[in-house]
Amino acid sequence: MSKEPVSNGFAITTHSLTRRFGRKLALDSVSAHVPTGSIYGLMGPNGAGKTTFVRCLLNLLDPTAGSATVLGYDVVRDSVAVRRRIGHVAALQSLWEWMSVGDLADFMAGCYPRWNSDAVAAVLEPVGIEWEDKIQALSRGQRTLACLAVAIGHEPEVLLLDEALTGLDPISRREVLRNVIDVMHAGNRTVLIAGQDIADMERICDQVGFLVKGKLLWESTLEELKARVKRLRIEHPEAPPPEIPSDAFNVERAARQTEFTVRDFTPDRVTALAAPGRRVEVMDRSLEDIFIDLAGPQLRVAADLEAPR
Amino acid sequence: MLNSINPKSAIPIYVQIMEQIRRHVASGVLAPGDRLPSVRELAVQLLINPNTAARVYRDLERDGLLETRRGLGTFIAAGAAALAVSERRRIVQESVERLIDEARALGVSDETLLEFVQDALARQPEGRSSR
Amino acid sequence: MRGIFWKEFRENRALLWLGFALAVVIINVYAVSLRVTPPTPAARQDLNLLCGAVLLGLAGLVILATTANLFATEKARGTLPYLLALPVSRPRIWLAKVLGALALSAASVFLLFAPVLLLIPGVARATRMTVYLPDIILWVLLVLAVTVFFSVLLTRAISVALASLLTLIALVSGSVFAVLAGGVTLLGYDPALDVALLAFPAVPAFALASLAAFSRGELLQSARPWRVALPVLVLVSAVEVAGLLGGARWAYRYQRAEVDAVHLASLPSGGSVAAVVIQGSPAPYRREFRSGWERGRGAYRSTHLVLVGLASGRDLLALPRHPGDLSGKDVKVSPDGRYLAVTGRPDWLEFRPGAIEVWNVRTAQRIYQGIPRQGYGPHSYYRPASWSPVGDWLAVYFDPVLIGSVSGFVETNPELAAEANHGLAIMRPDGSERSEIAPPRVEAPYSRPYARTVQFGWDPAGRAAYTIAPSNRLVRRHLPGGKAKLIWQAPAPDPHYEHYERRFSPPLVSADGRWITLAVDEPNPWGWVPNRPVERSYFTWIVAADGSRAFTRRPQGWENAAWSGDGNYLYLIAGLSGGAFEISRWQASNQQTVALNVPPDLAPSPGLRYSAFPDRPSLVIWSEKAAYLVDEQGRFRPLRSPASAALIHAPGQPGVDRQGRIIVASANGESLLAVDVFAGTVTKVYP
Repeated sequence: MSKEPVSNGFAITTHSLTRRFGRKLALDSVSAHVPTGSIYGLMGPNGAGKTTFVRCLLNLLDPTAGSATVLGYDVVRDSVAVRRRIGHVAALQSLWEWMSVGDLADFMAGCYPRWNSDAVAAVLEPVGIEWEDKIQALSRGQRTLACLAVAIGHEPEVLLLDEALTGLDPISRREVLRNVIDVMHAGNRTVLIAGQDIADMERICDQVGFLVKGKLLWESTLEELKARVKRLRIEHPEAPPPEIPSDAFNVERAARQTEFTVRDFTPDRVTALAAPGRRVEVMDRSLEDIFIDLAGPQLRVAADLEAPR
Repeated sequence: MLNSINPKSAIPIYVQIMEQIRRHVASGVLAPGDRLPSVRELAVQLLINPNTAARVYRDLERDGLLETRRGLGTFIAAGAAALAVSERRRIVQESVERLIDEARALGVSDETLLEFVQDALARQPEGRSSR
Repeated sequence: MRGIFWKEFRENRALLWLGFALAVVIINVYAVSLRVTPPTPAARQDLNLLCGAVLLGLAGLVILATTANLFATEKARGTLPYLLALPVSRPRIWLAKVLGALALSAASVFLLFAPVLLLIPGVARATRMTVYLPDIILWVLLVLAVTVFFSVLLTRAISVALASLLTLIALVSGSVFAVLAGGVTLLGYDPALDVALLAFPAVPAFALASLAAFSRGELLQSARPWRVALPVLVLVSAVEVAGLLGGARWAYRYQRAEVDAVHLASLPSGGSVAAVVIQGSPAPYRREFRSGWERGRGAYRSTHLVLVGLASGRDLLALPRHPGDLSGKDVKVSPDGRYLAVTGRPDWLEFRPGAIEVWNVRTAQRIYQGIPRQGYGPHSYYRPASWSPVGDWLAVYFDPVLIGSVSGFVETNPELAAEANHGLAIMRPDGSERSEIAPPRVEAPYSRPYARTVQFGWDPAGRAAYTIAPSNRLVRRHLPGGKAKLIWQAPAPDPHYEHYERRFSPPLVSADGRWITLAVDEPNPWGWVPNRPVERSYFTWIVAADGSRAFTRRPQGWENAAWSGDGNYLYLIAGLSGGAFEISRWQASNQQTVALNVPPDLAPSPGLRYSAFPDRPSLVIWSEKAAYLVDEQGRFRPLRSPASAALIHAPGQPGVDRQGRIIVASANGESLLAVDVFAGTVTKVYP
């Protein structure tokens, strides 16, 4: 096992990670970088490959090509060391129904070198989940929280949440986020949230990555994303319509106004587009808007694009 | 107390929070010596990354608006009051600049703009805001 | 890893009680069956066998139920990713799960067997089942490995189906193997153990294949699992089938002739036949591992009898190989080689001595089988004694008295007991025209230990038999149904012993029928002490067939006598102190005795063996050290190797064939050798 991880400030790095299922390419040369101490939101539509990505990190699946490292350890060669430092919550995951919450905690505790029962209790208590409760009897939200509780029991440095917030009631969702914040607050932790819960991810994530059809289309801080992806509205009641730049997408043309979204906005573009009789407005895009831009119906345009970094 | 941030806005969240705190300090809602929520509490309250909350406090402390006393918490700094004045000014100046940008964008001339300002000032007696 | 082990155990706890529940069911079914089956040992034994087989099958079922859950259900329920996301390497996950399942199935199997064997003494005693532990352990491992293999790769339903199919095949093939091998085993213990031995490589093969499949990362999506499953399955099955067939074939071919006894007869056509008893298992029979199957059946050591034509080396007759049907004892070939008489195996459970069988060699048909009655009763023929010299009569011993009922002397004088109290009768080869020659004597308990033995000899023409009648009389009976005629009465040396019943050797008649020799014991003339065993000495008498004359030598008598093949000479042997021998030769024509020069290296030796040749005056005599040919002049001519070596090291008694070759078993008992002392050659005649 290779020793002394070199992390370069990134908790998770993948190098052209590729995974194929038969003819289907689930991950296409994904090179992601998750900085240590960040909350990284991996967004993408259904079937984009998010769960495959997470499973590759856990070495539930072997990559067809490429590699990945977590905390400096290679996910394939040192998979046990990786899993010892990762907590994983997959809310769509089935559990052993016959177990009680306490059984599950004991089971997990036996597999890790370190176990913090108080941390586990701190997750369960506020929502009223008892150790004796059978998993069978838990609601969806309670199940997720129970998974989260046992996932953080061994004080992992990296926490992976796969669709953990999907379909949860508001209280459970808030509880999950609160617990994520608590985990982060303990210091030097990294969280990767994979899913489509845009609203929550917009609040809490500071890094984002867009995974569409197996390709990583975008990866940056949330700030930068919002700073560079802008929608330009050009009103030209008298002037002729402007030229559409080659990198524009989600284009809408009307008689007297044209709108399109650009991916690398700079103020120069406004001046470049400015002309007498034209008014150029720069509209901010919310994360949801950007999500639809990148992963929406104009997939053919998005598919031609490459990841910016 | 520190409430709504607009996640959808393109303004980074930490900027929004900083803005809010400055505004509160400027308007006197937060006085020197008032205790602010801890990083964790702030993060939980707003459901943001605690690192973001930490960054806010760090930047504000660097600017002299806050001070951290070990074991006790984060407080509005004593010298904040002095900053309040310049803060107020800054805020108004930024509003003015925005106003100018908008007027120009809509094709209103600078002279017309000045007229509007004077008319508005005349209509609203001093000391009272229209809102 | 321990957590996974316990999870596995706890998850399927309920199956523990499966074993117990099945045991209860089995006991009740067995109790009912006991009432329904006829109360004969054979039927009981079959029931026990069946019960044992059912138990084993149920054990397999229990293991199937526990291990089919292992991987296929985790996949089906979708909990497999959760398991694989643990910080435990895949091989250890696999191992922990398998050990958990193994512990669970072992516990369950124990609960299946324990009540039957331990907790319910009545059933345990009644069944007399021997549980052969290595068989069960291997069975458990085999079913486990197979099910784990399929459970890793396939869905639960298919894995159960396939594993059931495989275990069924294993069961059936075990029986087939036992049949093919005809009761012969590879290891000499138990056909079931042989099957286990052959099945053993399958265990690691399946286990390793499933481990390899599990360790690769392809389990979450079942990407073409048949591509892995099928080749492994085919490979292992091919190896097992090849091993089974090869093993059966080897066991079948590895038939070692263990020449137990050589019984010779001459054929009218000029050749000779030897009856050879063949023991069919490659390993020596181990008494301590008798299983229930073996008892009463004589099982894995199959015995069969082969009649070999010595001139041609061909098998003339091979008696059917039913394990245990033949004891191989008392094989008597008729002198013309037409019939074979042999004793069947006794059934001591039924207190039934074996039945006599007479076979027609040419047609290979059994023409007579005496069915002895149980217990007391007349006409219980059970042992052929000898054929008449012309082969038209068979003398048989019959014994209506159970030997065991006569207390005391059976243990101390087993060879006597075998002959004491017998009756003697003659019959035709097909069992007709039975008539008694000497009735059996039933001695009351605690009588004198040396009862009268029925010794008899045939007249060479086959028309008469000589027997010893009460009061030490040698009588001749004409056959069939003739009256007894007194030939001679052994005189008492001392008035005290006038009515003393003495022991006799069988009367030996010369080739021309004119002289009879027999040995008579006489008590020590120096006194009879009450309640002390009496010391005895043997004196050989030569008696004329018409009773006119009788000779013996005193004070030291000859102990043994052997006629030459032409009937002219009688060689008389007396043992001297220090282990030396004194050999004299008596000539029938002039009734003169001549002492011969015995070479000193013939002695000391526990005993001498000798062989006479048809129509010749010579005798071959050998001890454990040297072999000599006594020629017409009475000179001892030493035999050279290989002839002498073959004779000296041959076990058992020799015979002489028509061509004058001495037929002996080889030293290792695996073949028959023909020793031609005149040419000095040794030839292997069988196999």
